[in-house]
Amino acid sequence: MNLDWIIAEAGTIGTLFLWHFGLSVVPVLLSLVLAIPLGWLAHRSGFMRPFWLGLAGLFYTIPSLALFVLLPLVLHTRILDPINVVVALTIYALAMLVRTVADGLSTVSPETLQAATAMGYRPAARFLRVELPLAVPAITAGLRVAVVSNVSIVSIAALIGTPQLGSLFTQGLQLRFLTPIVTGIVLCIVLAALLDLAVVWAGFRLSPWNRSNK
Amino acid sequence: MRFFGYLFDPEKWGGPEGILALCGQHLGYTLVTLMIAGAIGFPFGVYVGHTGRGVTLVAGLANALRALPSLGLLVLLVILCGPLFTSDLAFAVPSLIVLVLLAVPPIMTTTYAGIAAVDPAAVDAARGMAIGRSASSFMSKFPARCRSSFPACGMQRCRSYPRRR
Repeated sequence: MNLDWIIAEAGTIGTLFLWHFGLSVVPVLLSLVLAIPLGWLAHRSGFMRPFWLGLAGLFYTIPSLALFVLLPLVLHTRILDPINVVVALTIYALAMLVRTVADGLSTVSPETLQAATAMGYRPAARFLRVELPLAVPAITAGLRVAVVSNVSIVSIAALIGTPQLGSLFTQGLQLRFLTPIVTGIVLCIVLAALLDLAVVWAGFRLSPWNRSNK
Repeated sequence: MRFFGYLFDPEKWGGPEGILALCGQHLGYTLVTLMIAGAIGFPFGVYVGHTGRGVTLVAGLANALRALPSLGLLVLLVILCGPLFTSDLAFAVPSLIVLVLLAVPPIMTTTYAGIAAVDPAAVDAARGMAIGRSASSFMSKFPARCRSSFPACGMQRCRSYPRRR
């Protein structure tokens, strides 16, 4: 380890950290917004449910590097455009979250839904005010996995030149220099832990009825 | 048409760097990884699920390993292992270590979850039939948990990186 290098490069490392933070958070938020309607559709699709969830899960098996390289051709963006990375990571997070949302919705007991209907909730309001909030604990669990794995996948985007902590890995490999690599790994784990805590906190705030258990 | 031209070009398929050889290599990495990771993760999962000991440790470890950036670890190991091997092993060994590290947590957690989810009544029944503790694990719990452990293996992503020399 070379502390002088870390101090000299602190500014660059800070910028990379912020890029990594943005590239990890934005796709997960985007995919959460998309996963709620899609998960609801899968949840309501009866015997087709395993098929839709399987199809969504299939996207997770696309190698991330291939997706990073392929997307500029599909989206007509420049290869260095960070949008490619955002779209690719949104697809990965979506693949995980659609199943999470569908599973979360199925944890809500039918009696609760009947009670809500009997109290005069219309379907849309019932979904937003009863079904979705009750699914929050299950969705939070899935979201934690999605965020943490996202932090790891973002670093692969360094191979196509998008600036984030992964750039420290490629730099370290070229220079045969261990300090940037170890710094990058440690910061990735720190970022993942922070985001994990943030998701847990958000889930805690959004499900006040669960607090007595904790 | 360049797409199909590439696909129908026999030269692209054969040879040591052809598509078929690369497919075989990819499958080889996946199988070796799965076997090593299974040999490590499976007994740990069975132990934790059966005894209920170390649940927090396993869950925490699995989460921490998930956050480990695979590319960073790969690069680190390539630099560290590079001088130790002279042949292609200098790249193969680091790749395998990283892949195994990535595959162990899901195998371990799902094995644990599957065993922990077995109906206690079935275990009691096995005890009642005088099946010993370790035997009960294998005869009653193992078949019951197969279904929940194997999808985890299927979920393993095959990550591919370009080979750098």
